[in-house]
Amino acid sequence: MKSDRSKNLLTPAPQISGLTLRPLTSGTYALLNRVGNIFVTPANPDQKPDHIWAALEWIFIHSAPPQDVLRVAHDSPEAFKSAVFAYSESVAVSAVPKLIVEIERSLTAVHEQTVDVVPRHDSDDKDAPPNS
Amino acid sequence: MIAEKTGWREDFILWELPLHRALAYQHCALWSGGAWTVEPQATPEAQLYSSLTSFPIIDDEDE
Repeated sequence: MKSDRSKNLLTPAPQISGLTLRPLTSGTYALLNRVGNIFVTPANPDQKPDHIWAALEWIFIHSAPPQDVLRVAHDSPEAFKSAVFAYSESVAVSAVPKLIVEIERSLTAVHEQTVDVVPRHDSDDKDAPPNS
Repeated sequence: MIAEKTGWREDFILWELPLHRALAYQHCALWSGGAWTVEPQATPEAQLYSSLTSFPIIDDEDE
């Protein structure tokens, strides 16, 4: 699929079934990492991935009140799971597919803007790699 | 790097600035600083697997 970087760069925060998802930021990415969300951490080969739970974690982190999210993510994994479970009761089941599409769009937008830095080793600009 | 280049508050960068935009701005800062950047490559394991599977398969029984 051909990507459209400028489209993803400028897409506003979506509202799905009354839920407004805040954007994926460096802070929320760190939270997702902290709770071991499988969308942003390497998969555990001994465990079957639960994509619906991962989506609910994502929705909680990006739509629940930020101070609540920070507090339970900092407290303990059990407190976080309980909070996600309680919050998930307010999420309409019919909205989950649209929310998953939005999660995929967010991750694609991040992937499209990711670059690797190439060492220069005192080379001239004429030696730069293509599209650098 | 973004805070240094823009003067934006840390809480804005952490909690409000979308990550894909932060990465785009970081890319601009790297570029303006003279760094060379390329699109990320596949993992070394994936590249190795791709190289190995691209070799033609030789059937020993034909020899």
